[in-house]
Amino acid sequence: MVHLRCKSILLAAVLLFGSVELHAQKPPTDLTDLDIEEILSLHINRVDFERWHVGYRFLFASFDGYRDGTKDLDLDEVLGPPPTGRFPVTPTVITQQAHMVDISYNVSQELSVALQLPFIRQSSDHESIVVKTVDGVEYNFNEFNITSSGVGDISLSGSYLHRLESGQRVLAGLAFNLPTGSIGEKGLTPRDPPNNTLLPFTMQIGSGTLDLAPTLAYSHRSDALRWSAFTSAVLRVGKNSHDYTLGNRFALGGSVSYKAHDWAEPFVRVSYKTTGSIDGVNEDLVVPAPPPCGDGCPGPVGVNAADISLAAPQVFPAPVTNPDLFGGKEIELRLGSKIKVNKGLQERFAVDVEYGLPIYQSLNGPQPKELGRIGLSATATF
Amino acid sequence: MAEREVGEYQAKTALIYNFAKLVQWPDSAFIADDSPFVFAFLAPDTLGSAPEILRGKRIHGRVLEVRYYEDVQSIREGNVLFCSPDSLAKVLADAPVYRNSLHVLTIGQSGDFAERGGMVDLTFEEDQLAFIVNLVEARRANLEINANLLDLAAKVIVD
Repeated sequence: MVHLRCKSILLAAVLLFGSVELHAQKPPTDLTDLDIEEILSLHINRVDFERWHVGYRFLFASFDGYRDGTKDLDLDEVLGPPPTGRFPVTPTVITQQAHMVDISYNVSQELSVALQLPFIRQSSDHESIVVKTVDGVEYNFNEFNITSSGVGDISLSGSYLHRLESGQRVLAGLAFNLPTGSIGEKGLTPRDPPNNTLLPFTMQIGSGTLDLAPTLAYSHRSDALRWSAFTSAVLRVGKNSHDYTLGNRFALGGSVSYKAHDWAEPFVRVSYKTTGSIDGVNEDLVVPAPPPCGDGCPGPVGVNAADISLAAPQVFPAPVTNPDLFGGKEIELRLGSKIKVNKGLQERFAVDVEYGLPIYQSLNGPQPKELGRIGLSATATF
Repeated sequence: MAEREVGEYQAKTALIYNFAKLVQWPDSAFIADDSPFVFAFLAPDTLGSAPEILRGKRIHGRVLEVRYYEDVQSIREGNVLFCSPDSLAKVLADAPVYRNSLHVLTIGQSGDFAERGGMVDLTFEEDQLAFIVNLVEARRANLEINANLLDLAAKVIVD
């Protein structure tokens, strides 16, 4: 079942379009009657235009520290023995890398189709209070690292560009994110050494569900200045094979760019994002509650597998295994620039650089806090 | 309602017609007072049949004529030459008419035409026409380009 919370988004879209001037303008049959400025303002039905765009994008995001709502938490407010409200295992620093190949084809000057192939690599440092002895072998998980990598959710999309008068345009798009990314990544965790066990939600590569990603954007260019407003969503369809659904995402934002030079166009973008928590519990991520710790708590607690009662209460061993501790609201500021590497004015090759900084985060916590992200992309048009 | 799109060749034809109106040729560019003003289009870079609309119009008091040439050696006349950068190089090297007279406004649409010795390059900014002017080459050909035209150029090469 698709969960749609679109009313506020639709209202925003209506407000965005409320100020757009819409009236017809018809060029004369003999264009030689126009002066140069009038000809330069016309939208041209090009005989030959660039059909293919091929690009590579690199994204890097880092998370360090915890937040509950808008309150930052110290590690000792998160790490600790249950059932104190704390967790015996806690990720500390999480990094995510995405390498994406984008291929798009302009069916016409208005209609484009695209394919995105992502490769994801993630790393998570942890601290825990768990030391386990299995078959006489001691596994000390005070500090450990887990990684995961693989092809993510492949995206197929289409977009339509509608031109209005005086440099205004509207772009509508819809992407289908296919569940090609793994949701079964495993690694060595305190749960069941020396066996690899299912990694938490944050370390999985894909969503496991078919996701719909609609976008709508309006932009207006006047001389060197372009401003735009956009809204987008990621809507999850159904539950995945582990019986959970990642939270839906909604975003609303705007940007301003300035063509400082024919090869450089810096921009500023602000966006508001809201993400739902995870719907459903992955039973493979919960563990039986360990027996109460004895003298010396907090500290390493030895848990022998033979002592665990299957009838004991289940607990989430780490905050990133609890589906309720995902999602929240964020305002992100992004700064960057497009750099054209081309001959003449036509964009044949371009490089984009950007840095994103969350300036407001209210998280369903305790949840890892994002520090920021950087993006680099290179595109060729031919 | 959105602005109606116009054909690329029709728009470019209108643009180069306007360029010619804003450029001054020396008297020595014409054999006689009643010599026509010639737009020459050298294959493979042409604007289809769109330039036909220019026939019979007048520029600088002269009747406008349109000529289509298949190769460099066949070029006999032209005050405006529309061609590719490769053709331009051959023209400057081989075309008899251009060896003795440099008063030709050369226009292209390759994106690098102005950087390769041409005077005006038609290009696009997204779906709107723009142009680059190589003022150095224009001055070498003793052509005087109106300042208003230069103000509208996306880029002017001055050295």
